[in-house]
Amino acid sequence: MAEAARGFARRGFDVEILTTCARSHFSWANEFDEGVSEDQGVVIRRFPTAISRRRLMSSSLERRVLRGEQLSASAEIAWVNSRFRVPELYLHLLAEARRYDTIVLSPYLFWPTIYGAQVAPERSIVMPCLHDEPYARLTVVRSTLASVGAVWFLSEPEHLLGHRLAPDLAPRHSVVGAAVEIPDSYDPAGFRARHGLTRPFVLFAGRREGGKGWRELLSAYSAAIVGSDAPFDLVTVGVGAPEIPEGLAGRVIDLGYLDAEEMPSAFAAAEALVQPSTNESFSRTVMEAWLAGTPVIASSAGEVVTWHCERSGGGLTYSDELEFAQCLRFVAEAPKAAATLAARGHSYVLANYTWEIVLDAMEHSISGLIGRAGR
Amino acid sequence: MRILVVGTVPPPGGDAAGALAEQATALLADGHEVELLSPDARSAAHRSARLEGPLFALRLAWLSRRFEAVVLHFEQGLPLGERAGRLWRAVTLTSLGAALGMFSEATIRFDAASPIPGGIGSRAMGEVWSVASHIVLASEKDRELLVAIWDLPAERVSVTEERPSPRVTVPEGWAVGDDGDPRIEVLELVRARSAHDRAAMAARVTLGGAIGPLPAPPFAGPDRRAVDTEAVARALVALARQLVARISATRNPERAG
Repeated sequence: MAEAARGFARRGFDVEILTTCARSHFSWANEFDEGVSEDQGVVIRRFPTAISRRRLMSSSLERRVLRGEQLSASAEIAWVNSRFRVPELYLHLLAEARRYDTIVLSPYLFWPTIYGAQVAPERSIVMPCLHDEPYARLTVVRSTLASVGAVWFLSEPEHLLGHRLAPDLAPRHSVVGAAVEIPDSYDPAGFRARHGLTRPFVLFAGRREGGKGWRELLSAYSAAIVGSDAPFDLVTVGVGAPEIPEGLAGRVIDLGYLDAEEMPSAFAAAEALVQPSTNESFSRTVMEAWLAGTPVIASSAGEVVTWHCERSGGGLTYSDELEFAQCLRFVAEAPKAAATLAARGHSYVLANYTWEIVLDAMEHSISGLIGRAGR
Repeated sequence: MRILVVGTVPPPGGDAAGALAEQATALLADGHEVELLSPDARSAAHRSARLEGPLFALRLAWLSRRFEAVVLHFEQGLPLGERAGRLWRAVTLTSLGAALGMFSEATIRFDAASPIPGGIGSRAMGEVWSVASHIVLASEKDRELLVAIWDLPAERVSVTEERPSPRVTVPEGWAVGDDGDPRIEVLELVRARSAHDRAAMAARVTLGGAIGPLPAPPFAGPDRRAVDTEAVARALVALARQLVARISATRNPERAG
C-alpha cells in the first residue's frame, strides 16, 4: 500500500497515508510516534492503537471465530473491537473524509478497514487481500465488501473467493494485481559470503508461522532429507520464531529478518524459492524470486500461487512430500531446465506486475469510481 | 532374510500382480533373498503350483523351514476357490493360520479385487488375522472394519492405494522436449518419479515387519502410539518371575517360609 501511495504521488496525486503507530501485527503496540510526517511526497498520519484489555473475552471470541461458529452481529463487532482499535483515525476520517476523492482501505481483517469503510462507503475502495479462512466468513466482512464503492483484488482466485464469500459483492470490482520493485542489481555471491552460506540452498521467505505453511515445509524438507537425500539446505528469512527441530539443525538455517535491500540478493542466491503457504492473496516473494531468475516450488494447495505458476508456466507445484522431494531433485539435477522455467516466471512478472501496469489498473478503477460518485 | 512371496506376478494378473512384483523387487533391492511362488503357471515366478485348500497350507508349513518371512497375496483361487463350502473354508483357513504362524513374519495382502473367504469377519479368517504380523488392505473402510471386528492393533493394518498401480518405471533424467510446455513436462516427471517413490514406500510398509521400519525423519516427533517394547518385555519378565515364585511357593511351602 505504501509503495502504491508513493507511485500515485509520483503521478501527481495528492496522497495521504492514514495508519497506526504499531510496528508489530502481533502486539499492535504503539512503537512509532503519532503525528504527521512526509515521505517521498506522501503525507503520513499516524494514530495510536487502543488495545483491548479484555483478554479473556478476546480469546474466547477468537476461538469461536476460528471454529467457524455463527456469531451474532454484536459478537462479530465485539470480535473486531477485541484486538485493537484506532478511534482517532476513525475520527479523522469522519471529520476529513470530504477532503479525499477516494479512500483505499486494506486489508479486510482489521478494525480500520471495517470501521473506516463505513465513513464514506461510496468513495471507499477495499483491497481485502482475502484468504479462505474463518475470519473472511464473518458477516461484517461480507457487508463491508458489499457496501463499498469498489473492491480491488490481487489475483483471479482471490476475486472468485470474493464472490463466494460475498455474493452481493460491490458491483465495481476488479483484479488490479500487486506490483514488485525491479532491483537495480543482485549480489548472490556477496549474500552467501555475508551470511556464511557455503552449500547450495532453497529459500523460504516469510513469516515463520502456522498460517504460512512453515511447519508443513519443515516436515516436507525433513522427509526429503531422509527419503531422497535432499541436495539443498533450507535457508529461511523473516519474522517469527522458526523453532527448528534438533534433527534439522545444520540443514535449516535461520537468517532472521533481513533489510529490504538485502532481499533481492537472497532470492538470487537461492537455487529455488519454496512457497508452502496456502494463505496467499498474491505472494510477492514468488514474483521477487522469478525476477531474480530463481525457480519457484510451491504447494499446489495454494490456489493463488498455483494460479501464478500455471499462468506463467514458470513454477512447479507439489501435492505431497514425495513430490516436493522430486521438485528439489529436478532443480538440483536439471539446473538449465529449472532456469528455463524461472525465465518464464520472469517474463510473467514483467508483463503483469510492474508498478506502471498495476498503478494504471488502480487509476482506471479510481477514475470510474470518482465519475460515478459525481466528483 | 529369506522371504517367500506367494501370489500371481506378471505377465498375467494385471495391476495387482504388478504391485506384488514391485514389492518383490523392492525386497530384492534391499538385499533380501526372495522367492516367488505363483498359482499361475504363466507368472515369471520361481515356481508355480496349485495353491488351494489345506494342501496349500501344508506346503506353506513345509516351506517355513526355508523361509523366515512370507508375503501372501489373497487372490482368486488362492487359498480358496469360489465354490469352497463353509467346512472346507474353515479347515483351509485354520490350517493356513497355523502354517503362517510358523514363519517369523507373515504379511497378508488384499487388493480391491481380492476375495476374502467368508468376509472380513468370518470366524475362520480370525485364525489368519491373529497370526499376521502385518495386513495390507485396499481401502480405509475395510481397514477400519477389520480393526474394529477383530480388535487388532491399528499399526498392524495398513491401506494401499485404492487401485494398486502396475509397475512404475522411473523416468530417466529430466529431459524436456522443445515442443510442449516444459512446466507440464517437468510436473509429469515429478509425478511419475514420486509415484515410484510412493510404490517403493508402500512396499516397505507392507513388509515393514520383515525389513524393518522406515527411518524416521528428523522432524518426526515421538510416535504416541508406539509401544515401548522394552518396557513390555520387562513387565512380562517380572510377571513371569512372580508366577514362578508363586508356583514354587505353593509347591515348597517350607522353603518359601
